[in-house]
Amino acid sequence: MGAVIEMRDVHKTFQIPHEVHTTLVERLLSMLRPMSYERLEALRGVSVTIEQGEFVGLIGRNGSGKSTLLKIMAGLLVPDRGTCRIRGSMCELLELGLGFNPELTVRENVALYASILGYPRNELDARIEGAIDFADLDRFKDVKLKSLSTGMHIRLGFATALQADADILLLDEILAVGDGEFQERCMESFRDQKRRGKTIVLVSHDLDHIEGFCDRVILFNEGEVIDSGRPDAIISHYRHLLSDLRRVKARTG
Amino acid sequence: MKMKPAEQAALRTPAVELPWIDPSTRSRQRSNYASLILQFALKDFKIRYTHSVLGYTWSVINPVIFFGLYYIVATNFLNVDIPKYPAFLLLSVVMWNFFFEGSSRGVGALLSRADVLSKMVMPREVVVYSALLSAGLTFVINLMVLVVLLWVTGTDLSISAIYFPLLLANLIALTLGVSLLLSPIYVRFHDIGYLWSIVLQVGFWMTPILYSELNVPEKWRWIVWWNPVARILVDARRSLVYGLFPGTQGVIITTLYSVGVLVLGILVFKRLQAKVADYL
Repeated sequence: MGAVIEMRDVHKTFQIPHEVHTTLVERLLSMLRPMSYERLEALRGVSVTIEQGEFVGLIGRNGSGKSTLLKIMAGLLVPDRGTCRIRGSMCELLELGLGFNPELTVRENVALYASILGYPRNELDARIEGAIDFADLDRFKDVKLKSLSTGMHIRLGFATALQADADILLLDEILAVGDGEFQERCMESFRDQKRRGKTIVLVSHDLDHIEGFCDRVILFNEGEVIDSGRPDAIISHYRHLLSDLRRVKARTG
Repeated sequence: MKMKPAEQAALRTPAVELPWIDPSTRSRQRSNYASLILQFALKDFKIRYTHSVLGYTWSVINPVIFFGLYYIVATNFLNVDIPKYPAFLLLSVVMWNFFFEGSSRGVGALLSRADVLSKMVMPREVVVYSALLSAGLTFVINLMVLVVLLWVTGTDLSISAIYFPLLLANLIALTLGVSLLLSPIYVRFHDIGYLWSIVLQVGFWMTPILYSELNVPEKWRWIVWWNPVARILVDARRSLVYGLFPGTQGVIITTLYSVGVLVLGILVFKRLQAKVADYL
C-alpha cells in the first residue's frame, strides 16, 4: 500500500511574548520597549511518511513536538517551512476530547460535532445514535454534558470521532482514560479500523498502550525525530534516553 | 460488527487512490458550511438564556427597558422635540443594538470559541458568521416589536419603505465587515477588545440615536456624515418612520462604505486566519 501522510522538512517556531511585569510601573515602562519574544522551536526539520493501514505511535518527552506535529497533520497549524500532504479523509481528536459545551445535552453536543466533522447527511441521525450507543450513554442522551464525568466526556468524544469513519484518525492522549471495559471496546474498534485499511496516528505517554497498539513508533526529542521503527526497540531507546537524562540531572543537581 | 454500505464502499476505495491535499485546506471540504453556521448560532442563542426564567423574553425586555429609559430622559429632561419620537427612538435603538451586539460578539468570536477552533478543523469564519446570526435572531424579534409600535402609533408605511431592506443589508454588511476585520487581530492583541468597547461607547453618543441629525450644529454635522451607522440610521428613519425617500446619492455612498468595510474585512480575515491558531 502507499503513503497517506507525507511530511518533508517541517519547521515550526512559536513566538511567546515575555510577560514578567509584576508591577504597574514595570508594565508602563515595558510599553516603551519593543516586546521581547521567546522563540520556541517546536519542530526543526521533521520528515515523516505514514503508509495506509499503519498504526503509528508518537512518543517523546513533554514539549518534544509530538502534538505540534499532529496539529500540522490535522491542518490546524501551518508549518513555517516544509510541506505536509495527506490523502483521504481525516478526523482529529486532540487534547482530551473535543471542545464539548457543558450546557448542551449529550445529543446536542454530538450533533454539533457531527456537523463539524461532516457526517454524510443521509446517515446523520443513525451515526449520532451510533456514537451515543458506542459511548454507552444512551440513558444520558438528554442530560446536560456538565453532569457527566470526565471519563464519559472522553468516551463520547472518541465515539463521535470514530463515527466520522475517516480514512485517517489522529489521536492525542485519549486512551489513558476510560475504564477497562471501554478500553477493550476501543481495542476492538481499532482492530476493525485496521481491517478496513484505516490509518491511525497516536500520541501517548502510556508506553504499554503504544506497545500494544502500534506497528511502528516514532521517537521525538527537542523537535526532531531521533528514531523510528518497531515498538519494542523504540520504546527501549526512549527508556534509555529518560534514564540518561535522570543521571545527568542527578550529577548536575 | 456489521458493516454499513458506506463502510464497504470505503473498503473498496483505498485512500491511496485519492489525490494529495494540503491539510490546511481540509476545513473547506469537510463541513457543511450553512448547517454549521446555523447550528452554532442556535446553540449559542439557547445557551445564552439557559439559566433564566424568562428565557428568550429577555431579548425583548432589554431593548424595551432602554427604549423607555431613553424616552423619559430625552422628552422630560433634555426636551428633545422630534415628531413621531417613539417610533424614531425605537427604530434607532433596535438598529444600534444589532450593531452593538453583533460587532461585540463578532469581534470576540474567534477568541470565545478558542476551545473548538484549536482542536477541530473547521472554516474559522463560521464562528464569526454564527455570532452575527445569533445577534440577528434578537434583531428580528426586536423588529417585530417595532412593527407593533408602528402599528399602535398609527404610522402608515409609505412606498419609501422599500429602501429599508437595503439599509438593513448595509447594516449587516458593515457589522460583518468590522467583525471579520477585527476578530483575527483581537486574537493576537487583546487591546482590540478594550478599544472596540470604547469605540462603541463613543459611537452611541456620536451617532444620532436619541437625537436627530438636525440637532447637531452645522459645523459638527460632518461627524454624522462620516459615521456609516449614523448614515444608515438617518435614512432608515426617513424611509420607515417619516415616509420620505432618502437621497439616492447618499444611499449609494452608504452602500459603498458598507461594502468597502466588508471587502476589507474579508481580505484581512483571509490573510490572517491561518496564523490565528498559533495564538488561540
